[in-house]
Amino acid sequence: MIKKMVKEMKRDILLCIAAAALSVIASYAAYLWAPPEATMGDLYRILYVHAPAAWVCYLAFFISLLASIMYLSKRKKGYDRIAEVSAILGLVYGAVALVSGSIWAKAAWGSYWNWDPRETTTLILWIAYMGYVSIKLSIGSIEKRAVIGAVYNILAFSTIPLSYLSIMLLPTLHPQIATPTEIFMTPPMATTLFLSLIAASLFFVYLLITAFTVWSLEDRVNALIYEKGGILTGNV
Amino acid sequence: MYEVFLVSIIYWTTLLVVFVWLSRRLAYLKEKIADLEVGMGEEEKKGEEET
Repeated sequence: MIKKMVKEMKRDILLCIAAAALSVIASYAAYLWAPPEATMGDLYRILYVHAPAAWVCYLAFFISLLASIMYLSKRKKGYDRIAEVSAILGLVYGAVALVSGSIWAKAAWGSYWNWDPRETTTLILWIAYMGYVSIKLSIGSIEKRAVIGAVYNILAFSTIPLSYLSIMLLPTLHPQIATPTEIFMTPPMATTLFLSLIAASLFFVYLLITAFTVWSLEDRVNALIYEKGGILTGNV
Repeated sequence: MYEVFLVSIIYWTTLLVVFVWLSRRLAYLKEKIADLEVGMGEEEKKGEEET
């Protein structure tokens, strides 16, 4: 038991160090190494923060979807917990993507919010997942909350392709940096973006593991208090 | 260029807040579990002594 805990702790520390080191390298590349873009100049560097935040937001909701599907098929509490923590982290990254996108929009298009298809569909996505978190917070029965949450989560995921494909299917101001077959960037820019995506993903994985551990330990504390005959407050 | 700086500050501050909150919560819960387990162990010992 203790050996397993020490092993997990070592893994988490290594993951955190790797994410931090890669983030430093990615930041150096983003702010100093990558050349300014031909028309937007240095403003283009926002991309190296904005795109990873949006990517991790999609990744988090995808993991949340998988965990919800697994919960519905296996009915194991751990899957429901992964779905929940991943969705909450996805909302954090989604908020950063929305805010950074708005700052870019103000500088590039003159207004913070333009009701552009990408902006609008990303906001819909974010609100849909806020609904998921609201469901998880508002239903008292643990079993009911998990099942309804999982079904809602699967439905909410339909907003991801809507957001992703919006710039391909609708007229938009949002720049398209890549298609599944082509990338519209110079090699140093593409390398910087790739590094930023990997660094952000690693850091997200670390946060996901830590958040999952915190949620699990909260259950353990509640169980111990219950065993001792104490009153559960729901907030230890 | 200040927009790039602003976006970076927002991104890193948000992640740092989440990171610090989770780390503090994790440390608190580990401590709480250790306390509760010690307490339970002592109660079990007392129970054994009484019987």
